[in-house]
Amino acid sequence: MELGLIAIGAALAIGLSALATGWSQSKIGAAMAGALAEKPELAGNAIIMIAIPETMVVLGFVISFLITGLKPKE
Amino acid sequence: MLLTMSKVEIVGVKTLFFQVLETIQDLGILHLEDITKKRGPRYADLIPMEMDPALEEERSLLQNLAMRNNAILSELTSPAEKVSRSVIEEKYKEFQGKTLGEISAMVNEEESATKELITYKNELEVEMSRLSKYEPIIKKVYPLASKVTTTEQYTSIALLIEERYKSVLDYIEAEMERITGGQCDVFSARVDENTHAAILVFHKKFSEQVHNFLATENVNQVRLPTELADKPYDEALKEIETRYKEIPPKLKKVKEDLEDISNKWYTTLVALKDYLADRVDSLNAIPKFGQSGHAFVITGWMPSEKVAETRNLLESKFEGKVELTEELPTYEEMEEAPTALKNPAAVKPFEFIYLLINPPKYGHLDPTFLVAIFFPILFGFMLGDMGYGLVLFGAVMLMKYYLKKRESRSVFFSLFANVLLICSISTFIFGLLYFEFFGDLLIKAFGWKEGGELQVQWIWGYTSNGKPFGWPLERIAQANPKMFNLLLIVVIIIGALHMGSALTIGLIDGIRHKDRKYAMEKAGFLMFILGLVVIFASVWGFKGIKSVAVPVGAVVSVAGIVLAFAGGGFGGGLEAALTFGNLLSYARLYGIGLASVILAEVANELGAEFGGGLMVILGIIVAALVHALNLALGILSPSIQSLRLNLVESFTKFYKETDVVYKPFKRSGGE
Repeated sequence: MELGLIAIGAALAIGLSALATGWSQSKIGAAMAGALAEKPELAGNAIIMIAIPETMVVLGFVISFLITGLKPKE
Repeated sequence: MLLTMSKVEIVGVKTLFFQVLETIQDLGILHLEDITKKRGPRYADLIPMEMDPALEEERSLLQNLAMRNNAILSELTSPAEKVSRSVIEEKYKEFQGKTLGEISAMVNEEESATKELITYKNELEVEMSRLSKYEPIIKKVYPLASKVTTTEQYTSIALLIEERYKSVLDYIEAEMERITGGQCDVFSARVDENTHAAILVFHKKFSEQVHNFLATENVNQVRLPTELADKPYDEALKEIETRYKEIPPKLKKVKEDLEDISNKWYTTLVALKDYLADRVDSLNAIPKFGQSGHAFVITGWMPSEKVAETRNLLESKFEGKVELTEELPTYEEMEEAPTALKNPAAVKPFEFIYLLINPPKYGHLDPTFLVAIFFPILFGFMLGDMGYGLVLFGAVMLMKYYLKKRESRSVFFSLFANVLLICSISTFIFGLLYFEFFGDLLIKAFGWKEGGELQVQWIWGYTSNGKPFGWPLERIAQANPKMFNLLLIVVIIIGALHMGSALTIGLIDGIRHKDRKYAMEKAGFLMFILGLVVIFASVWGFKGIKSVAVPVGAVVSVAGIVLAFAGGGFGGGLEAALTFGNLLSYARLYGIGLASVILAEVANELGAEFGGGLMVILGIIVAALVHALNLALGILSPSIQSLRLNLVESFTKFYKETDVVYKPFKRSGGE
């Protein structure tokens, strides 16, 4: 039972953070695409802006990995 | 580092103005200032130089010549044999000795030699493209049309009907009989598996009714070029086919003639393009200069190391009638000083970040060296794999070879290729520390991993007296939850060093510019980070001093926030506290490294699943493909994340962009 909870916990950690990142990147990506159409010189900033929400999924992945390393109680 | 600049003023007698202007453009080191925007007593008596009607006329003639020359150049292909820059330079110098009349005559001559050929070539190409649209129709309808014979009284229309609608032909035939009272013929045949062609032959007097009927029924008529519209189909199609076959040899001949002209003129035209663009540039610069009754004044900035050399050159060339003086800039003028970068070869590639943001403001420290130190460390920490390092090194060398072969002038690619080359070395070094070679390939090959568990503790063996030597494997492998604490400490140390260095630059800048509040704010940030590091180190590492270190760290951190508050107000204090988040942001180094190593191990597992025998080859191919994907992600993600850590976590702490980049007035060929 506890093994199942560990797995669910890990899945939630990566899954929810991935959804959040995807949602934020879609918003930022669309806005930056619009901005780039007007000002192509903002390409550098666009890359950085889009990379910012990646923090969530990367940290979610780390947490998920740590959770999977937990040992279930016998 | 930033090049030290000097503000200079060049004064000379007006009669020498154009010669001086040409000399300055040839030297290509003076960043011009617009004297008309200068205020203050020093510039009060100066009158801005104006373009008189003669100069305006000259500029307009030059622009016209440039436009015509560029038009000819755009129609010529560059010669197969590469033209060296020195040959173009020689031709350029020849133009410097020519009058505008001579240049104008030359452009006229080029134009008359090429204009007719170019027009003819364009006409042929247009005709070719127009007729090519009829090619598929000709192929389909011509076999049928050739069987139809028409007389002067009769005309014909061709139709193309899809196979599934072929029954409509019977209806069309019946309606044609009705409209023409039987004075018509309908020929139809299947021309390919999806199409039926039909030719309707009828008396000319029914032309309008037939066309109206076909228009209302929305039938797809084959339209011919206007000039052939009145001809019967068989004749029209035959003529199109004949014309279509005649064009390619004519086009070939005209292209050969143009190629001959190109071989003869191309270098001259390129040199002329550069020369005319430079002449227009120099005339455009005139309104930036000032004048008095008999003298002209040019002001600008140049590298301090070039001042003496330029002064001597002007004095000797113009026999003391032109003088260059170094001015002491005012505070306002210093704000407008242009920024020029001068970094050693190893640091220079990292100037690529200034393609994303403006270079630093003049008078501040150039952080390129900081990027040069930390970018490869951050990148290597994330990708860290001996195999990937070697592949990346090879790929970048190949890329550099192709860039050189194609004579690429892309600044971004040439700089970034060198950045990746340095990063490939750091990737290899970190791979050595993690003992990763395409993930756990080497560990598996040595039989150190069985059932997913590591079998050895020390990777580099034992010393002669039996002591373990090197790194404990179970502690270096990234994909190991036991490693979390150690790696988290390492990334926080890297983050603290990275942000600490950035803040130190800010602190030095504050002290140098005597900006006490700014310096206090940066010192506060630094103290806050220092306090955090003490706390983290005592909790995770040096547990023995925990009871003392935690309160000391906390006091230092709080003192840092107070100092930042005193220096930067509420915003400063808040930003100091938020630095904690910046520090934790470096945990991405661990996360991305972990993702990379897990994917590499998956590639190896997947390859091993294919079993023995010939399937080994398939296994290797699959593993190689997954590794290639991982490497591609491994280059993209660490590059972007390293960039982000530099620009967001580090640069936001101190960086001030310039608005004025050093752009010397030089011969640039209009580029």
